[in-house]
Amino acid sequence: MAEDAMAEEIIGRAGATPTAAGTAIAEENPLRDGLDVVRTGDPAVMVIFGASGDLARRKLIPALYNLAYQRLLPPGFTVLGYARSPYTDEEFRERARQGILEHSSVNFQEEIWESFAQGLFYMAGPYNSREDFQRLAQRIDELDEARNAHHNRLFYLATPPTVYQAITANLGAVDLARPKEGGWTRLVVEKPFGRDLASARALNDHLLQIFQEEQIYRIDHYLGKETVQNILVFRFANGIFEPIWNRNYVDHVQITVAESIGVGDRGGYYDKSGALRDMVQNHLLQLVSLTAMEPPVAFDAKAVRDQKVNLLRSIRSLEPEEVPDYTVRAQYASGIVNGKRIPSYLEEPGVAPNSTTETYVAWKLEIENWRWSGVPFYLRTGKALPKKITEVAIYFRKAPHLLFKTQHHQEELIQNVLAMRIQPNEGISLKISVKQPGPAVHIQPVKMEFHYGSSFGRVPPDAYERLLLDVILGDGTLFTRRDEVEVAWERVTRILEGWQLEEEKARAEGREFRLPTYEAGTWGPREADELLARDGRRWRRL
Amino acid sequence: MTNPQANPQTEPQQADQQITQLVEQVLSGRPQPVDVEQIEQALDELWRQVAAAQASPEQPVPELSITRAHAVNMVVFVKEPAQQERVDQALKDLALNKPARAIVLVEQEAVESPEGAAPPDDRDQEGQAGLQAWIATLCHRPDPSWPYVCSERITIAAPRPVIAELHSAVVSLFVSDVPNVLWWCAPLPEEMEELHLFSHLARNVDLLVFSAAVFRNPLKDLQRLRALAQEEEPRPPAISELIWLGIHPWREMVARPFDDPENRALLPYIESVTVRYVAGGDVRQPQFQPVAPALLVAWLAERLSWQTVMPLRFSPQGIGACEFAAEFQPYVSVELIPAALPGAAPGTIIGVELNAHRVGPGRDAGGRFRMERLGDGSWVRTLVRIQGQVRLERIAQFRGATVGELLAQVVGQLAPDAIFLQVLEKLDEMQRPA
Repeated sequence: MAEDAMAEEIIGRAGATPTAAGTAIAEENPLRDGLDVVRTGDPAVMVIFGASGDLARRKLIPALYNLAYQRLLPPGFTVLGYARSPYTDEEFRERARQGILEHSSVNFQEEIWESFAQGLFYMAGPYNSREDFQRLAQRIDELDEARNAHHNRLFYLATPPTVYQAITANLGAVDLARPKEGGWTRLVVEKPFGRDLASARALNDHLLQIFQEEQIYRIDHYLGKETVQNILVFRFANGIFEPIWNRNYVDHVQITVAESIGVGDRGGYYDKSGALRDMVQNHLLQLVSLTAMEPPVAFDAKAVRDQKVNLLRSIRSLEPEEVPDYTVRAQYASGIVNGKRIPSYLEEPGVAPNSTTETYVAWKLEIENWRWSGVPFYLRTGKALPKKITEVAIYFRKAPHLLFKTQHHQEELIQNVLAMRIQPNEGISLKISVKQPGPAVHIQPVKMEFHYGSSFGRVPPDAYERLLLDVILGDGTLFTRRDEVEVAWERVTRILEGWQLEEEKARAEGREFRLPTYEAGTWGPREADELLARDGRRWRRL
Repeated sequence: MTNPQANPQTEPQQADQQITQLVEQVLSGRPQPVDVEQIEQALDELWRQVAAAQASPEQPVPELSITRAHAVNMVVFVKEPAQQERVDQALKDLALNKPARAIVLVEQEAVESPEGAAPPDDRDQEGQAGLQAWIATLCHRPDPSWPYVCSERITIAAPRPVIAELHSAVVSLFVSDVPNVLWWCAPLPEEMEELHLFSHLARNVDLLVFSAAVFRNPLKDLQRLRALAQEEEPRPPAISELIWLGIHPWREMVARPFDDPENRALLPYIESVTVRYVAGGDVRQPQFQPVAPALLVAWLAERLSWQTVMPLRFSPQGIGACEFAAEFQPYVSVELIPAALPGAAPGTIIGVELNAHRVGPGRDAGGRFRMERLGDGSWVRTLVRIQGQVRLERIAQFRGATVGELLAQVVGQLAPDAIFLQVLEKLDEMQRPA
């Protein structure tokens, strides 16, 4: 196998996309010609606020380790965990090690870990103390000096949103927000980014007093998924789909983001949020915008985000009075999912007994532009549904004359459906109709399928890996911009207002307001089926 | 092969047994002898049975949750019996990364029945004298929650006189709309039959892959590849070679320190290069000359515009030496030093060191760039010293890629590799007498 020796990074080259910066390197370094430019970015000190929490342990640290494993982290890259819990550097490293062992998608290698762990540090402190942030600034400078991080700083808000403002205000106060000479400073903000339009605007206004928009990376991990990015490639790298990607050929679109778990021990948090805020405002509207946007002039941060914003602006704002006609909300009742009994939402710990927080939302969304006028986008998301699945399904119009129509139910069979499966079993399928072999004309639907696994032989990498690498490289294409967040919240806040109106009306009439329910392990409430049935359609069976 | 679902009279027990046999046959990948003229039909029948078993409402067969996939047609020509095992393993590894319809052509003197296979009927039929064929599946699960991904392997064995005519059988077996690749896992064709087969197949593929490791005189024969690539009529497909692909990570490791502009400033001042490699036999014999180190040096020389001053020569101890002239460095000395790495095959590169020295009033600078495999070879350390100070030290994993992984990598590109051809030209220059 002598001549075939090959370093790990070359085998796992999926993420090694050439960039403008990489192209410049290739032009200047004569040895780079003909080699893929592996995007490793600059060394930096990354401060994770909320480093003792679940997000850091389950996602961020394992993703950073995976990048180190693939040699995509630059030498000198340093992680400084910051949280209230009083850990030492060693204790933090041990937690990180456990997180990697449990959640990393690559093999744990002691040697890689040793090298990675040398760059892990921890500092305990509150989020609202300027003195502690002064100490933090000093520690960052020391680490920068010791590990040659070139004055590059990356701050990651992996805390509850309630402390975002305190953290960023203190970063500004101790002069950590302004890039140091020769370096860069970036801020990553996790969702939820506000809980309605007013709070999102207030948070944006606050952040933009301290940071420049270009420094802020609002993360929606859905955009880091290969399959979500592939929606753009599928649409704009194939000549055959874009001409029929419009109201002339598309009947309607269904987007499903289903979770099989209930709220579990997150009831206290979830009850203040709900499915609309938790899933629709971000993940589902991102899927809508990528599916429906106009072609960008280039695949760069500005051009892509401009088109996404244009699309979001085209979503029809609902008047509060018409919200019940276009949306359905519900809570799960007790039921069985994957053989396991789930209590009703109202029985979950931390949930108010009279809660009207929705665990399921369906929304008939309309886009008011030339391309999509008259084509409804049906969105649904929920907890305690039969299985975890995310997909975008494009239903094409039926053939104008059904030559082979023999039975009523066959009309449904002969509608072409293009399904883009985001997770699991990532891939794309196209349902077409064929004649069953035999003397009679019986039409049978069959699927033409593409699976990542069968074409590429490997499971796509974790979204956080890609997104963290993009932040280190300063590529904001897969992050949401201020205007994008606010337009999405504007449309969602209209629904929240409509629901509030509905509840106030019930109270004014002396009625107790209760949400519809659906049995855990089923595909949602009857009302959601009726939402589509009114249009002569039904939800896709998944 | 019978269809367990087709006969309504089949007893349930028999049907179960047949399905068990079907599952075993598909997932084991055991070759089945078939008539050469019936290969496609036999494969169709196999997949039809699988589909029938999958569709059976009474007897769902979870083991037969299978996706049949073809991302490439991979034709392999094998001449030496010793190469068969290597090819078998390579195709299994390729299937993990790129499901392929593999069509393996073997000279009959060189083949026995594939491992575990029953011999085919010993019969000669008109037009296919002496041809033997087997079909097998290559299945794997990318993830435990995913269905099996299965592709196919077809083996055709033929005696030498018939080899020349094999191309027609091969082309008819191509799956449409996927790239066609020919991996010529044999010395470069010289005999008439092989030349005929090669030229016909080359016209029908998008990529030719060679293994210089099995060439009779690898360093010289690589020049024939260059000549082949430069032919005008017929225009050849893209050409690649496995040893060249295998040194990709070394190119990457050597290039990476020079992404830093301060290090890059020393590139024109490299004065010596040492490549350590695993020694094989007597390097004065052409077949034992270390190809990978020579290609790596040729790549450096080509990229840095070095001109050969003293051609590559090997001492009886296996030490290779040559000299170049660079724009700012009149002598760049290069040494290829044999060394040991347990378990590594002869020719394997185990370390590269570049030394640079820039002189001038107020601009004296020296740099040492060292990349070496550590311990059992699973790790590689990059050490950069500038002016005697450690500027970068990094340890990363290094593992041997299989031939199948290299094939999957090159199949994913398919474009002509201009750098490879330039490197071959430099290699030619390095071997010419001064």
